Amino acid sequence: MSESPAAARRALRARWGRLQAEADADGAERPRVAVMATFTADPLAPYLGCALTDRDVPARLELAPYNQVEQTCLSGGAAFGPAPLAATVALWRLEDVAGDAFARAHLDETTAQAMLDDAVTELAHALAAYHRARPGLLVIALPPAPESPHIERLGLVDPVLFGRLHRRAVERFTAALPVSPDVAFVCLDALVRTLGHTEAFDRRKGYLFRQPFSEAFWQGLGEQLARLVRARRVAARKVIAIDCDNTLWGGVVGEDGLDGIRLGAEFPGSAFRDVQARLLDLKAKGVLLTLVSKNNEADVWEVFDQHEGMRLKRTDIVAWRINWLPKPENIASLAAELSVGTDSFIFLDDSAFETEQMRTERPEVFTLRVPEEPADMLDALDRCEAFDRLEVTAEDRARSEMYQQERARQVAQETLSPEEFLIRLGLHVRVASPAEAQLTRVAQLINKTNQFNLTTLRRTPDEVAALLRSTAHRLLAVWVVDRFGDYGLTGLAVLEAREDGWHLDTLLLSCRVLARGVETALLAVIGEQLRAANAPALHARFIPTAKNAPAADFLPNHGFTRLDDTRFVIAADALPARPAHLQIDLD
Amino acid sequence: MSADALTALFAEVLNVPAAELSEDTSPDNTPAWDSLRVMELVAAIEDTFDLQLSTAEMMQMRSIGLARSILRAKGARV
Repeated sequence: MSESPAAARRALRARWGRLQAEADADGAERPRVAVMATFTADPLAPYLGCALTDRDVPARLELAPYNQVEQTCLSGGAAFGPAPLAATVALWRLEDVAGDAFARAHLDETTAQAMLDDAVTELAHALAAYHRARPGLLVIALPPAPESPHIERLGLVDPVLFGRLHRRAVERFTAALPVSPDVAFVCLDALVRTLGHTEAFDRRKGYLFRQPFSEAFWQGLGEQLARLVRARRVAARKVIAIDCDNTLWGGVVGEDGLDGIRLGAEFPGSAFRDVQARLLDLKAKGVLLTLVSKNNEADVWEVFDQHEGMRLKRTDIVAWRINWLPKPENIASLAAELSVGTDSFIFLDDSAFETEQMRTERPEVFTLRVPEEPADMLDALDRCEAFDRLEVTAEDRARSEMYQQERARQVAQETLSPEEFLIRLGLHVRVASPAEAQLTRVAQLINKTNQFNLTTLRRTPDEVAALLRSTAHRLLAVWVVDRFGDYGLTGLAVLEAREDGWHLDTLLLSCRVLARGVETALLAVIGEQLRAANAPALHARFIPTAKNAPAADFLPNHGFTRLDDTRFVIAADALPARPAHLQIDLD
Repeated sequence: MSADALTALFAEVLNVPAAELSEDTSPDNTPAWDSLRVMELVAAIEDTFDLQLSTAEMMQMRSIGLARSILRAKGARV
């Protein structure tokens, strides 16, 4: 018999006790996550602590004193001590910050709204001050529908009136908060809806313990928060490899034929059509769609090109392996084609055999088995944390298009000499110091670029911002455009001025713009700036990793002298000239 | 469920060795038994014995012995 949810929660709470005892005993440094709330939030600790630990964030939790959210914010989180925090969670309810507004609402909605507006604006400003004082992720609750003796929850009028007040107050609150990649939200109202009001609340505890929520609510909140923290720390997976038969449509096209497969307005075809709609959303968020199917290629494309129920089009798919080879092999070859690691893949398939084989042979691929019940497919995708991503950058949105262009480029390359190809690319490279607005993208490049990266030094967005302000450092960002399309911000150099010359702290390029001379162009620009500053030499390092072999020969190939295992140097006037086949814009 | 299961539950939640607990252990003689622990004790008891305590029962449960008699009255074998 499987464990009841209550018994599972009980086991989690006991486990958190053991994890804390271990943390006390070994004294090892752990990421710290702080929680402040306008109600007793202690029941969150075991669920959040275990959920974080299960996501490779073995965190310690710090709880601010009960109902001191504003005080905690305005003191810059003094209660959490001076050490850095990986994340802070702020939980609150409308009734805790402006409960008196609800007593007024029946008589005077305008005044009640004004009271709520004032209270949520004040809270938002306090949270903004906290965010300025404490770097790191700040997760802010959007409050649940208010509960108050003045609100007849099951009445005929109150749900409309208080629903309106609630929505407006949340809008006012979010509008008063800073927009920042380090501010994320957790919607308590959505959590209550998911569980249902009866499951989410526990009136007895509201009265006795100053917190109104059930253990099931706290568990759900802990999971949700841990997902947010994880999504902030782990790069989102970039590619999804999708099976076709019984995943994109019902039935087997090779046997049932174009007219026999289930796909379209009628169930079960409608469930598959909805899965395709979700996949298109993922594509819009920057996930690359690929196919891995054991089929005759012509059969699959016939469905893509001719079936009226298809939402996905052939042009949505950036690469495919439609053959009879083992799927783990096909994923590896797709990874090579797209210049990404196999650990960037999500694999979606209905077959127990295929999913088991993938899990065994390629555990780094995130394998999701599509449920047999077509009606459950969307929920399974919803629950899958491998899809979690907090923010979508312009480069993410354009990525799919860029890979399509890459395919066009490769076709062009096959028919020209390499030199002709480069000239015909019509490359434009812009090199400039990145602006504040590009910090997110710069940090993303620093933390995700594995292959062409000399030092693989990772940095948080805050550290990147500090570098940008530093007078000793110079950041050069690289934008690349060619006749096939716009790659956006795809390269970066970080330079530090010292007595003996400039030091190349970081040099990286997205693998999408490699082998076009862009790296040489960047080095040429660095040389020009070095000479303008009368710096005698450029010092550089190559720190080998498991993945950066593509950058191994870069320094020797450009005339650098090797000093020891990792260090290289070149005189300022020995740096290369601008390559002739591309145009460089500086500003 | 053996009679020791309840003592073990209190030992775990209060983080006090079971040997130091008795039927007379109460918030008055056990510093660890504060209001936050009461909340955890309620959750642990409800989830372990699959029952619901009333607010009156939660408030009366001011020693291990009292907790035991309340649970027995509700049919739990403790």
